[in-house]
Amino acid sequence: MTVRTRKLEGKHVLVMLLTAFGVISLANLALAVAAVMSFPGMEVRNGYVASQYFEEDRTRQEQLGWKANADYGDRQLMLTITTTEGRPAKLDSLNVTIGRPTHMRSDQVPTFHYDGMRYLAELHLDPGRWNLELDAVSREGIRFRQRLSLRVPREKL
Amino acid sequence: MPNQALIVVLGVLTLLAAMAANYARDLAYMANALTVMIVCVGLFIWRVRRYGEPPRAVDDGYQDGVIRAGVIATAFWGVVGFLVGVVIALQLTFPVLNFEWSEGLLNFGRLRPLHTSAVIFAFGGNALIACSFYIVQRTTAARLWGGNLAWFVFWGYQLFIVLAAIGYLLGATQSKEYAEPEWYVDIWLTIVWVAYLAVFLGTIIRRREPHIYVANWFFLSFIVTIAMLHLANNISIPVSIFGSKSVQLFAGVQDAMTQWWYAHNAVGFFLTAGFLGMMYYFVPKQANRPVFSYKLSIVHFWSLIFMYIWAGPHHLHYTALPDWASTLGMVFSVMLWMPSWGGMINGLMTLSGAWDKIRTDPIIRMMVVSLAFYGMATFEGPMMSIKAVNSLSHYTDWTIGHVHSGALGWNGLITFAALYFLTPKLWNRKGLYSLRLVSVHFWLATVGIVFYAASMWVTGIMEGLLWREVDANGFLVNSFADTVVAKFPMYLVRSLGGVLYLLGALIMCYNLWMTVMSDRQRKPVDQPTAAAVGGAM
Repeated sequence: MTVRTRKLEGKHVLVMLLTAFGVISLANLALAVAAVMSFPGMEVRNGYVASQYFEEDRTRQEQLGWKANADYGDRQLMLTITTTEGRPAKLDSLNVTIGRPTHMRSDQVPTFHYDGMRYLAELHLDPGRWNLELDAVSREGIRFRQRLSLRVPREKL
Repeated sequence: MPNQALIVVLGVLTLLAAMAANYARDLAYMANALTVMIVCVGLFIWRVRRYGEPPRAVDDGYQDGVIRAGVIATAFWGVVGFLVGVVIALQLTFPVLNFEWSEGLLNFGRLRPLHTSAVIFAFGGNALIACSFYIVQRTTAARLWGGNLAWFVFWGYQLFIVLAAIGYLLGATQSKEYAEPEWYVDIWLTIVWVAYLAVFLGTIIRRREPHIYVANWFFLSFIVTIAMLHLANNISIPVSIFGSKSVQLFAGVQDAMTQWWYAHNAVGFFLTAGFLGMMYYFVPKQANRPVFSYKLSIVHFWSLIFMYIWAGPHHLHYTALPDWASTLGMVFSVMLWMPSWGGMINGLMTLSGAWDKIRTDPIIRMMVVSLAFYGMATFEGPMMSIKAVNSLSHYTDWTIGHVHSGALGWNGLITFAALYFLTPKLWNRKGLYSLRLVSVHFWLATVGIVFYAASMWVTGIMEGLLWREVDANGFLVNSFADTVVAKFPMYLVRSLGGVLYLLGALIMCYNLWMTVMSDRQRKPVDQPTAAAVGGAM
């Protein structure tokens, strides 16, 4: 009778190690993907860099004394930016993104037409909370940024 | 010190400890003072009874008595630490185990630091002290320097453990992870540690082998760095000389940064460098082959100690810590992957050409799997230190799984292997009582770790995603209690893994006990000779 002894060799150990590290890599990859694909709650990429300009930008913006107001009703978004005297502010450019607070899937960029007082845009918003990110530049080149919160009420049945 | 002077000193210390207990401002301090008093009284009586006895003949062989004590202490504290670990794992699974009557003594919050300190400092620390004493003597062909100073280190360290443990249970903690002991325990550890450094360095200076083997470099970096970390992280001012409470010198983010610089390097130098020193001696010895690449061991030693020291800030991503500091920590953590794997590959490749020993020798199998878990832990570490990944993994059980694949897998298994290697040698036995039981221990431990790591992977990702799940309106979907409930099955699996691991350790204790007790297998005493491992570079 012959006893069959399988000798363990380098290639076997290599396969074992590769299998083990394959499983470990997969688990870690799952973690990394889950981390990158889900909502991180990030406001700015680098808080340290942002903090170096934040106060200065805010002071300059506050010196404008502007007020922004947004309203939504009848499928129409209405945006006003007024000066301290209540007159419409004169803008060099206006960029607006409207989206849900915690994901970017529903982001919309409305196209406004200006009626001399208000910026108006036709768009559809589902009920619930929306954030309007406003990024405007004044004639003097000062940035005016605001995040306005909108609440679209549930339609009455 | 002459006997008379020692007796006087012990008497004075007893008196001082009694006074401290009398004036104690809190229970923990009183218990610690009474412990010191009892120890001093015991030593006092012991010295008085031996008064006038002729001094014992000086042995000039290897000083192995203290290492034997270290082996016993390692096995003992290991079982204690694992047992407390199982208890707190079950407390998390079944909160009812935080009994009403044991609140403020045996609840999770009190037992958790007891577990971490018992496994890291009591089990790991005793293993490191014993193994470094064994290895430094064999690789330098010199007896330990300082005579009974080595015994002072051993018993002083046990006293440190007991004082810290009693303090934790009674609520004395400075609330720094892995640096919980209060100020007077820290001072005591400093004294013991300096003595440890003196013994180790003295032996190296007295060496009869010109080359300093790489294992000793790892041990020396471990001893020196731990001393530095311990001093820097424990700068505190006691509120009263008769109380356990102290106030940290640093505040806020500076304190946090100092703490995590300390804690990460405790991992790097206590649990990595020190244990690599063990690996570099025991793996070649047990495999009976030279180290795969001595050059690689030198290169990864220097890169490891240079990089580890910068990695601490990755514990403080997205906190008040400046962004550049946390980026620095992240970059160095990712770079650390390479020297870490250098160590793993060097250990594994030492078996090159003798792979069959993994099948035939359960101790080698333990060492190989230990190295594989070292590789796993040092791969996960850099991954988790990446900010985007950390934003999900931080505060979740993923971290706990990562820590335990390192602690149970790497530190635990290599220590078990070292104990199996040392016991027959130190007690002059032909071999172990049972290799089959080593194999059983190996499988219990390995399956236990797999249960542990896998369940923590699942619950880590799960709770991370549950915590950050938000609805369209920006509101969190899950309450914290919901996420705790969801973890129950994984907690159960983790506890089971812990039980298996503890069972394995108990089997080891039985095996080692039987090895020592079986008198039939005595063999000639190990004689000092120049070290054989990796002597040629």
